[in-house]
Amino acid sequence: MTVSDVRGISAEAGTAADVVFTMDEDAFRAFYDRTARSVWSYLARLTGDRTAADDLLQETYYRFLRARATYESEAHRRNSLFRIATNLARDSHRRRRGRPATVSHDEELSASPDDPAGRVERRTDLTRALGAMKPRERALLWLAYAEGSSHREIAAALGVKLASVKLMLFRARRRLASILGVDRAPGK
Amino acid sequence: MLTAVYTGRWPGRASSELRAHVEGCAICRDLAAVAGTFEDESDVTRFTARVPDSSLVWWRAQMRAREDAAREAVRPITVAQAIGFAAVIGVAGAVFGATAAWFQRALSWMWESTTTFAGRISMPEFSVSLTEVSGSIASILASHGMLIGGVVLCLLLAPLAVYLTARD
Repeated sequence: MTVSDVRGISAEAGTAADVVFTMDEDAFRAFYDRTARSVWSYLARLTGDRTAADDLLQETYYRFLRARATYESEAHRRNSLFRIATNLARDSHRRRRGRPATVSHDEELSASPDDPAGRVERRTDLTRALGAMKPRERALLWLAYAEGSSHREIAAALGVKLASVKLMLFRARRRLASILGVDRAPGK
Repeated sequence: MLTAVYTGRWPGRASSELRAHVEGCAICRDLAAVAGTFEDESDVTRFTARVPDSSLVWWRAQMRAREDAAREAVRPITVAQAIGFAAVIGVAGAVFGATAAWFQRALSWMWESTTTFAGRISMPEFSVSLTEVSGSIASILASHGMLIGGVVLCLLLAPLAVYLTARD
């Protein structure tokens, strides 16, 4: 038996029966429809790059499907998904750090032709501020304030201790506020 | 504070008590600024997100899983083929060493040169033992040189072949 014979047999086996995933197609599609926009937004903010977010979105759901895990609840499933997304974004950030600097796509994320001028300015400020922060800080802030995740959910998604989340979040929030130029003097 | 932001009551429809508290509290001021900005940003990003259809993502995942499964199935055979190839090269080398007279002469010359050189080392207390050791190695090689050469070649080539195969 040659290698090409085995390849042929494997390909036939693949078409004869669906590959075993952690959920069936209907369940997956419903779950995807509930979560994809959130995951994409999270990835886009973490990577600062829409194209990278597109690629990582597919990879996130693939790894989620291949993970042989059992989930207790929808929240547990969602936390796992965000954890996979976090790890992929971190790996992507590491890989890109070793490459020569290219034009950042962060600005794309703040550009939306339907935005009123004030909103565009605010989004641009946030984009620049987030660009100056570490990926973990971006992830923390996004999960807490864009996703509305609890500290427990954030700890599960980022793989950090629950006790550390509060302090990490406080520091990240203070840093972002300071970059955004929030006046910290009391009474003003 | 967060509830006021998420329910859209901050800053326009916030109570006077909450406003007064935020005025004097740096933490709440940070929270109001950051949470408000993110709330706004999250809405816009989610609205403008262009995600592929779930059926497409499912189909791509299926294809990818099949490719991965096929690759996994083929890998042990490829590794076995690589080891077999390395073994054939090793045996061919051993046969060549056993049959080629010029190669044997070259090998003997090399070991004679080595033992002669070892005998000339200017440390008398070590020179005898070095000569003896070299002599023993030379005699082993003279009787089983081809076999040893083949084994060494196999040992060198097999890990390299396995590495090259498993690299992808």
